[in-house]
Amino acid sequence: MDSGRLVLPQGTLDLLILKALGLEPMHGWAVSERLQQISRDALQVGQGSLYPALHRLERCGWIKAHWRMTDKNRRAKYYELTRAGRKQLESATDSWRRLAAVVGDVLDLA
Amino acid sequence: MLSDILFRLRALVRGRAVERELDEELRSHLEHEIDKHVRAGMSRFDAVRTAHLALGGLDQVKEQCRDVRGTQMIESLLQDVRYALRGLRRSRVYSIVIVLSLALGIGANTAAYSVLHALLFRSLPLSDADQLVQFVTYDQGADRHEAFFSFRLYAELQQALEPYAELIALTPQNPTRIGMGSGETETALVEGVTANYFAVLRVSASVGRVLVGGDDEHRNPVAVLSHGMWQRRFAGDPRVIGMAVPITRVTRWWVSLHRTSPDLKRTNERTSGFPSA
Repeated sequence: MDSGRLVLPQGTLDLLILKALGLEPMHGWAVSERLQQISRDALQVGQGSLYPALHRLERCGWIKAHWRMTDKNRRAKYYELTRAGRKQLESATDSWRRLAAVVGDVLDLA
Repeated sequence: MLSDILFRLRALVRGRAVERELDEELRSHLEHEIDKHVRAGMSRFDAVRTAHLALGGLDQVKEQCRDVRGTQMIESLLQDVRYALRGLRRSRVYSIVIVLSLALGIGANTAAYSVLHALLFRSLPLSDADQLVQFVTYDQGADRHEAFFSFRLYAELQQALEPYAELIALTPQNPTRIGMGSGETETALVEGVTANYFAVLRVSASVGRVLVGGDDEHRNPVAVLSHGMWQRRFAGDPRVIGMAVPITRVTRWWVSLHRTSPDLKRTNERTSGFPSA
């Protein structure tokens, strides 16, 4: 593992993408930038795994995509959270918190 | 679930557009990334390299995105089909031979099974068709089955079976010349049957009447016209009832006992009776 960055556990990337898109609609590159910023570069989000994840979330109906011009006048594919996506974000956040808490407890006890 | 189906359907039907979009999306990502590096003071060459490295193999990412679409199986199937068709086009003679032999094989099988179906499995279009049986005689010396009975034997059998079953007898269908009035003749399949034929098979006439007891006493022979011929030859005219039809005398009056006439379907179409003079 290089420079102490955390590799995301399986499945958490989806949650982070939903969280990022929950703030505002954005295109793929912006999502990856946002994740780097928020995590203060502590997370190693493979840009290559971002797009399959976006497409998977779109297929699940949690996000939807449309093409729009960026502020630099380029065409880009913007993603935004759907109503189902917002619900998914809530429940996934909740499960993650519970899971993290339980794992933390177990580790503290042991 | 609906979004899933729509997503996959779009990927499948508009495959090319979806591919183009994927292309454009990844290109736009790379442009943004390159811009970022250039703004940070990198040379354009290094920026391009770094951006590509960060994304990983472009083809690999695309492949992963395609996997997500959930149409991979159908797409590769279509690809295989296209590949096969190209191969077939390349070697025409070979393809034609293959297609023909397949066609022959399938055709022969279909024919065989149609016959088998008609002979063994399809029940006759009659009520209680499974109650019908055919009598045959067995010649032990010649080890041969026959379905020909003398009329006397028929009468005796009928008497013997009376409490349990009804017996009908019919001649084989013979192509016979029939007078059509005004000197015209036509060849039709004629079958002699006992008067109880229609009653036993529970087939009725749409116009006129079917045979009733006594009709088979030769003083006043009558005939029943099949619905098909009624329509074809007489345009469904009900006035044929009572018309005289000279029918060349059926020579063989051996009586056979069939389970049913092989052409019962025709007889089972509505029939109309008309006595001949």
